[in-house]
Amino acid sequence: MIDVRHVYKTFRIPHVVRALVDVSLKVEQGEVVVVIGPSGSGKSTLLRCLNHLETADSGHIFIDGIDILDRKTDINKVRAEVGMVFQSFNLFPHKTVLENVTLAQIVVRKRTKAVAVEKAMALLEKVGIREKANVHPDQLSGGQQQRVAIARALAMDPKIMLFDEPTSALDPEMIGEVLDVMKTLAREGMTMVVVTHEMGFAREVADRVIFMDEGAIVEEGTPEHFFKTPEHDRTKLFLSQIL
Amino acid sequence: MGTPVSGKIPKRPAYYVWVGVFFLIVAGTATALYYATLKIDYVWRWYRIPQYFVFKEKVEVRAQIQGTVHRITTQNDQAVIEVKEGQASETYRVPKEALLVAEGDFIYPGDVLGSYARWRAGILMQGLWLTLKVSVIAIVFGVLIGLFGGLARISENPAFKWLAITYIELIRGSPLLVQIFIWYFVLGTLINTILAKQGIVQIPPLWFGVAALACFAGAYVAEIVRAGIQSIHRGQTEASRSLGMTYVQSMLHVILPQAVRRILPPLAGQFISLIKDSSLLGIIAIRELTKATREVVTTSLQPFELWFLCALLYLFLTFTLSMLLQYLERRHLVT
Repeated sequence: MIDVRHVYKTFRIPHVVRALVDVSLKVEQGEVVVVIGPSGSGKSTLLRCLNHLETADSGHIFIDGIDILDRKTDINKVRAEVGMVFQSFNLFPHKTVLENVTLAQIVVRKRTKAVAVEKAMALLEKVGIREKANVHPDQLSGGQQQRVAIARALAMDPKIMLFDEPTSALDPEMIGEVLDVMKTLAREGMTMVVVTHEMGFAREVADRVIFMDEGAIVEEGTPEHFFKTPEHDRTKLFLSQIL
Repeated sequence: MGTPVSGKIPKRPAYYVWVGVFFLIVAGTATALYYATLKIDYVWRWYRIPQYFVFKEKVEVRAQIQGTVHRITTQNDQAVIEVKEGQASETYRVPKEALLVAEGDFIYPGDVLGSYARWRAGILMQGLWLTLKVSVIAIVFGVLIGLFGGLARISENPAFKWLAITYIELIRGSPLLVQIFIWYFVLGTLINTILAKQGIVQIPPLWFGVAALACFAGAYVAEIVRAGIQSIHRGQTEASRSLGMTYVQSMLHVILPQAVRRILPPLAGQFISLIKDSSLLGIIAIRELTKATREVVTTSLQPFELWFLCALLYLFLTFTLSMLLQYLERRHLVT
């Protein structure tokens, strides 16, 4: 489903940072991959490269067989198949919750309003905030906003969901409600790549855990292997600091 | 009175003293000015001013042919005069009470048969109207230029971006007066000479004035639009693009609706500037409010009343506009 081959990415502004160094990664359909690592390790950059919010300098990234680094690829078509959830929610503040979820369906998928609304209401039901459909995002708690953001991404019927630290901006008591929605998705067989610091989630849901440091994948494996018998010193150090 | 009203902080006595000081200064300035004008024997004649807004014009109805007044009949308040000379005959209408001829009178061409009065817009009214017209057209085009200019300014395409920067810097770095001269004397001459050679009608100075104002305002609006769009968090673009929206869709549905709220207040200031700047157009023979006032001053010799009035009329236009935009802003924020 996702095939990343030898990807490099260097930021030059404001100063030179080697964000991704020869990263290769495969994610199969239905697989849940959790990416962890210290801040600045390149995990968010990797995720953002997967839907071309950042352009990798070299290498290939295949999404469902399409090379998104190929100039001829219509990136908007690929992005419609790849949902993304951001750390800061990024809901559209001038639109109601319902409009947030229907907008892209109508504009990109060209669905009629009635179909889009029906789909949106079903998804809002699924993430448990159907009753908030007609309020604006600023009247919701962080956890509720993030659940709307997940519904907004799901409304496009994506084949892949990317989560960029979805719980990092939330108050502790709201993390659970967002993780529950993500767990449900994982159980339903959604292909997911999740950048997170929630080790509990990684342990419980992940099929594979990837540890990144300084732009490279240091270690990857099943949660059992990862949390019980990490091989690299860098991984051990990181785990000892956060667990 | 005196007891504090809930929700309002009671004012200390010193507050009212300073309110008094404010009114004293305003009234004092006005009185001082008035006495100064009396000192130089200026005679205020406000009663002469209304005629420059609307006045009654006496229209004389004159005969076009020579002949005898064949018949006069009355229809409602109108007298219908039939003048006949052999085969030729003409009819004229004048109000009954202003009739100056009788049946059987012999008429030469140009003879006054009667007269009536009608209301006409005075020169100041025409000037005010022209100022309004020029400003509105320039605002509309200025906003269009500014919108595309601002989008080009933040574009990553160097052709668009550098063109926008060049345009904005050129316009903002030179005086509007000079730009008006360039539009009228350089571009105007070029365009009208070329048109004349092709045998096409000339473009009147008004449009070069409007173009100068619109291009001038456009540069400032472009910067306002750029700032407005850039003030919207990057995450909004990323979220909309990550859903598969194109650049245009993301702009139309997500970024611009949010940017408009932040753009409106500085835009209102720009519109007000533009109305005031339109006073410069008098120099290329466009008789807007300021030019009209100047003309009236030279004939009436009442400069004090007229220049105060001119200022008040601009204030009327700008104040109305700012109220209108404030209303828009508030309504926009609610929805």
